[in-house]
Amino acid sequence: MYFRTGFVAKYLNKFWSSPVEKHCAKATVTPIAPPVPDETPNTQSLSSSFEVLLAKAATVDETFAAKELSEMLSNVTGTAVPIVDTKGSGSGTLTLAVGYDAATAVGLPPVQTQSIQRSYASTVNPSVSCCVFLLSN
Amino acid sequence: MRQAALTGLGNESWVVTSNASGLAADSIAISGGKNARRGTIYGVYGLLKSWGYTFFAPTETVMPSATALAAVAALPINLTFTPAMEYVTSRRVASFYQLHCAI
Repeated sequence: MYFRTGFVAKYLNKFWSSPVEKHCAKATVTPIAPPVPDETPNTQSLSSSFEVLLAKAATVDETFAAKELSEMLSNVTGTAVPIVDTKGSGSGTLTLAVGYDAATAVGLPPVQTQSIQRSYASTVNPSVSCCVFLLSN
Repeated sequence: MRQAALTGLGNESWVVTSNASGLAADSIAISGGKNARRGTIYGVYGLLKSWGYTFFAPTETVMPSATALAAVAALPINLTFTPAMEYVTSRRVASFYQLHCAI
């Protein structure tokens, strides 16, 4: 039994593995092409395209968030993304307002009053909530 | 985005919008609630994820190419997220340890 098993194993090694070995021996290693770097950023749309707006009264957590966003964008664009406290007027610049006060500075409506919040939360009729909102303003 | 974009945002909720009424052109607002501890940073990560960033681990971040980033950044965005519970990660981890590790 041992003899037969060994014979079969030798037979298989001789005839079945040899093509593989030949293939491996003949295989040529094709060098992998080096990664193509990204295209040079478009100067008009990228190099000066981002700025992070952070209000002067921002909290520590908002400041950290602004720095994180600036760093993440800088890593991709290859240029420093400035953190400013006043929205720039550069054309083609995308302003990322980080934080509550910065968001309101670029026009996002702030919290009005607590009554408005309760009205929105408790009213299911949109016309009624609209009237409540207008009256409160 | 309705007028009440920033209302009702707690510590964990966040909003990222570029097309709210009254928002200045070429602006994206990222904010949590007023004096929120974590909402704003969650919003930043939400925006970056929508722009192609993938955060596998604290030290493993896959970033989009510069051209891809320029393309998606030009698109309007309107995201709002409110988690089902506060302290999303911490409480889940804490409850896991309470269930499986407390003897």
